[in-house]
Amino acid sequence: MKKTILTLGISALISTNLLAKDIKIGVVMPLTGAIAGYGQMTKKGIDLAHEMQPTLNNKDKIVLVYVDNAGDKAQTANAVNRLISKDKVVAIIGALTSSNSLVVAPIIKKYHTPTVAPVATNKRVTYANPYMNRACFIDPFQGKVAAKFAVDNLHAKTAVVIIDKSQAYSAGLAKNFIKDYKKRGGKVLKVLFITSGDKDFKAILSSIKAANPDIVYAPLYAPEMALILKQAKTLGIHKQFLAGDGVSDLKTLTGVAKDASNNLMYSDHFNEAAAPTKLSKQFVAKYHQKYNNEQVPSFAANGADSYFIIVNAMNKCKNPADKECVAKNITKTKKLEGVTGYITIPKSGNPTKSAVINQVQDSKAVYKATVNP
Amino acid sequence: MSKYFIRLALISAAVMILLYISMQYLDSYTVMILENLGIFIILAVSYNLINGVTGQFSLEPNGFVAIGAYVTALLLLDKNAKLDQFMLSDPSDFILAIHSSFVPALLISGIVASLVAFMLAFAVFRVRGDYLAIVTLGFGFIIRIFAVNQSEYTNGSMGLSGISNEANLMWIGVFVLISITVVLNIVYSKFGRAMKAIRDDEDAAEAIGVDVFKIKTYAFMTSAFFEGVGGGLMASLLTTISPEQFSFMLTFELLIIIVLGGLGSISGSILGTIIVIAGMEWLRFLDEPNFFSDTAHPGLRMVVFSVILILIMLFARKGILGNKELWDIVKVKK
Repeated sequence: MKKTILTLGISALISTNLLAKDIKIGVVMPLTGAIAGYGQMTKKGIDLAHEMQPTLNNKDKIVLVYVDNAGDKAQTANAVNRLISKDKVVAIIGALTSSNSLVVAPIIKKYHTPTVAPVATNKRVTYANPYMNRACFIDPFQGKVAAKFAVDNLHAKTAVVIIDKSQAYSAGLAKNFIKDYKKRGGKVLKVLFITSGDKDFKAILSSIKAANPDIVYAPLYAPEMALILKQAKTLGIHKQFLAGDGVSDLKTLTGVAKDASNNLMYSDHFNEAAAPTKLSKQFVAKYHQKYNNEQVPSFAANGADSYFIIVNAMNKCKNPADKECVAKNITKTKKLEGVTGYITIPKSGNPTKSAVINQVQDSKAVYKATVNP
Repeated sequence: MSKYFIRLALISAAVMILLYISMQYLDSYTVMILENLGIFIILAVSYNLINGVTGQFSLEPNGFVAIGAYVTALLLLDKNAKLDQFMLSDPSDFILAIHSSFVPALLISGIVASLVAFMLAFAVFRVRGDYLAIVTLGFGFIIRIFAVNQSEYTNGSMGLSGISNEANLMWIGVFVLISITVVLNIVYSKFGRAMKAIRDDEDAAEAIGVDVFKIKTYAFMTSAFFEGVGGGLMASLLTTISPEQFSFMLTFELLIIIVLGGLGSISGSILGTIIVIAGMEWLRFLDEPNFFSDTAHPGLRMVVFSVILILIMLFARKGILGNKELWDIVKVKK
């Protein structure tokens, strides 16, 4: 009797193992190198999303395969080829940023592998490529959001724009801000340029003081933004600064600028205080539990959404390992409940989403408003 | 002499057949590593000519690779693609007008890089040693700042994308063979002997009648030509380029390769490239969850790799092959 039960048990175990396949999703991300911080934040979000939905509806287990690209283009190309040909993944999340995702796009197009980039905001990433998608909004949209918020909510009639010339991201946002802001009747008094790594901003700050605008739009990254705010405070310039999601690395920002960073407003993908869906509330609670009550960074939220978008598409396919079917269903995503809101992805691969405006208060991101497209 | 050509033809044919077979039967990951390897062999071998054989401690390759990559990219992109992606300012008429196919683009890249090297030579070879290193380092920075700021020529920090992917393993193989053959022929010619004389003692070389400036400029221009071609291949392989790719780190990587392989040894440079470029990929298994723990360790391969580098340099002070060639060592053992 014992033997039969044992045999039955073993055969049952084997059969379930045979029926439920492992479905691999590859993740290419900078986990080492200069921009590893952003990669680590996103990884936390993807890991948690995987914990929340470890299997597909048909009980197939999802396995995540992480490959590090160190933020480097050649290594990204290697990593993607490795995931496709060696690990045989069905879909790919990555590569995090635009410059690396531009390397990914032609490769996954060649091998027909559906891909979702978490925070690649450059509009050319998904260009003429049915397999490339993203989980975030694009640069032009974020610039427009800032312009709309500046005119409608801050009632700012005049603005000065600061552009970081060495960052494509900064130029992309600023250009679209200027265009849209002028269209809405605002006046751009001055456009000032800086370069990443600059330390002394007194010259541009004094020219801001002379221009005396209602707001300063500065789509920069956290290190430069922090120094500008700090030096503005010492010079007694109390203008409203408005930035993009590049400053959402609040640890760096507030670590350097301290209380000078208070009142800074920036457009972002997500704020945990305004969790828009049931899933996002759940996600925020679990994130706090898992990572020591840390505030959920928008990178983590976008990483999780990339995962949910792919899993949702896989669930719609009879055979979840069918790349063509998954790719087709990603671009059919309609009102999917995600962490950053309800996600709809059209054929272009660029989702329509709303943005939030956050304000920095005591080293925390305080929710200010939601701006719809 | 004809014996030499027969041997060269046989070796080339064997290499090309091997590459063709690997392209057909190996998976895309291995092919990608081989392609990367080929490009870095071109860069390392040509960098070794100026740095190892001629002994001029120059830190310029990132500049020439950038020039090559940008020239190839701008020649390969057609007018519409340029109009579509130049966002920071409109492309200049000159940039819009230029267009060519793949091989001419690579050759033009090489020629442009080598012309820049010619002009640069007048300035940089007025100084020697450490001072030369600093002057050439400055050149790399200038090229990068030009790429960021002159957005009507380079599209600034946005970089260029959608470059047609024509650099396959075969083309890279062809240029690897050409670069190695040319550099080896130079090394074993009277120019090569003059270069080595300059490396060993510049004043003595000048005293016995070597035109030091001319020889240095020859080496510099040849080196720049192949660095330009390598940059062009890189642009076409990755299909996208941006200024931050050509930072000092690229020069640094090449410097590690040629020091590891042995300064002045061409086969050493090839060996060094294989260890550094392919080694980083082979060590990827260290990042994955393994027998000892379930969690992944991103970055572990970097640590192990650095330890390997330190060990090699501790036990082979002059690099793996010193300034000998692989075939010298094999002959001794016969």
